[in-house]
Amino acid sequence: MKTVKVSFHSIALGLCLLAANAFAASYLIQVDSPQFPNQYGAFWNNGSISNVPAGANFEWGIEASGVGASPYAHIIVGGGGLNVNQSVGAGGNAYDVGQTSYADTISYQLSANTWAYPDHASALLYVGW
Amino acid sequence: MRTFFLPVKIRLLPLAVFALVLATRISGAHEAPNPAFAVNLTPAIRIGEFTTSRYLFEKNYRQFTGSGLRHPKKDPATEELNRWFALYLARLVIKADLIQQGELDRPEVVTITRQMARYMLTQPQGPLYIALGGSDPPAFRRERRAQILKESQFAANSGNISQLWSAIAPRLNRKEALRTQDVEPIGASILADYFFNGIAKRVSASDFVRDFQQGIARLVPRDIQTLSEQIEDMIVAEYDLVDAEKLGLDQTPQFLEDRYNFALNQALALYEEKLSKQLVISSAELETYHQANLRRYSSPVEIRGALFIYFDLETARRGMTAPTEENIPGLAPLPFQTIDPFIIPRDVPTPPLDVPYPFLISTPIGQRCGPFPYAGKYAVFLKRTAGEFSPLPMEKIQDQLRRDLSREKIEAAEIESLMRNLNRVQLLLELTDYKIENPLPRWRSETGQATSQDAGTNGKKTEID
Repeated sequence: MKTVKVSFHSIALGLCLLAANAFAASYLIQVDSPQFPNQYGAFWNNGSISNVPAGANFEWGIEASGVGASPYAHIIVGGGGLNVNQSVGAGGNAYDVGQTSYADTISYQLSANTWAYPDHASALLYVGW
Repeated sequence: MRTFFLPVKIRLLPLAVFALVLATRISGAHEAPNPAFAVNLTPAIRIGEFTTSRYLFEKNYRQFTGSGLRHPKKDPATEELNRWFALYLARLVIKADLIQQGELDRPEVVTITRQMARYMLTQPQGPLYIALGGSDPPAFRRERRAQILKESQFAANSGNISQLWSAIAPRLNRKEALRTQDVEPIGASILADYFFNGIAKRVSASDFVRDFQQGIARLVPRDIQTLSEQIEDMIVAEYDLVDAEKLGLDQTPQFLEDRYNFALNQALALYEEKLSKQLVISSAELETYHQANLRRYSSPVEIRGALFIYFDLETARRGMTAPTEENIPGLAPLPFQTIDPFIIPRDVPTPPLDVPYPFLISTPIGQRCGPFPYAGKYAVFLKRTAGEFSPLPMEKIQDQLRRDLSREKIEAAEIESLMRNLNRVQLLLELTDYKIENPLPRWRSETGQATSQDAGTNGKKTEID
């Protein structure tokens, strides 16, 4: 199965939180802002995960850190009774878990935006049982 | 014919994993839990012949207490916990009945549970890579993946993969499911040749679509490269599954518990689906529900800002940089075209920007978002204002309203059913450890059932038989 990511940087927060909930999350979609000063911008990952059964667990986490101009991370997840739409700005983080209430295709949209080095933002989503 | 050999490191690992599993089984249920292998199988709740383990209770409990966005994170209120526990217990009673009725043997439940088990065993974050990956499972997976593709002599046919992409891309771009008929004309074309355990095998376009349709939680390919990787993933998963089973990872107590829990959830979902179909919800009822929850179903009527259009993605990305003092001067490129003001109304059939409206709503005012594909180019949107909130039109959210109301009704019916079945429930865990007030004595007194057996048993074994 595919792990989607733009880069892999500083997801300790998300992983620590996710690991604390040992309900075997297993599917990762991630978008991460870059860490190099010459690569600002929005990193965007949207798509869908088909055939997600009822009673599947999902977890998501977003975080935005830095002292420069507003980094922010955003997540939208819909389908299967899920209704996630959350963003955080500089210094913020958010995390949640849940369960699908019916079988469906889940659509997701993750974005992580930064405007200045060393700002950082990331958004990630897991689906498991 | 050729044989695929696992590297020595991997071939020796089954023994190590087996030893770990064995040690866990011998060590008993009260050992400190290792999330990967040890689970507490002590019964937590008994309903007639059916029991649920402490592990599964805690898993559900953790999921509830970890859910609900709390920022900063705080524990749920006692009332919330009690409400969760009531619904949890109600569903356990239903699950116990579903087992009695043989619902776990329904083909739908059996099939999806088998598919899910396969999916879990072959995940990059699943037990195989946790067991074999050492301190760096992602790096191990990359190595193993490359090795499998090399040793299986995986050979992709890029021409046929391009053809397949041309056949499925229009549907995927419209966020539609992959259908067998979309690839019928090219169904037999071979996407890749490989060896599996010495046997020559092939993946046709039809094989890929079938695998995709039958797979659980499949990521819809975004481009031809993702599609090619997914074809490779099919072969890697074939090897992963065999190795995971050889290692006994599908037989660990945790895996078996999770699998059982999943099967029960599937049976419950089918039961709830049947209930939902029996529910009659009138238009008037829907209207009343809508009116009572207007705030939940409201959003700004429009979003206003400016749209900067660029020729290519890279320039558009740099166009995300707002020209402020905090940024390096000259970093933001001049757009090819600017549309200002750019208005995105909520209630139009075709929005001017193909971006989910909720995303635009939550983008902070004064910030840019994107880049988005726009008329064959790429655009960055600068949000300036959001219009007034107004309720979403009924016709636009009929399905969502019906589903939300239906769910509320089903949950109410489940709780009602629990009240009629209280005498079957036996709590075998200390609820106070979980900050839950034992609701059984109160419920029993409310429902007129005898209270002598469980009086004052909050935090102790409670039997209502």
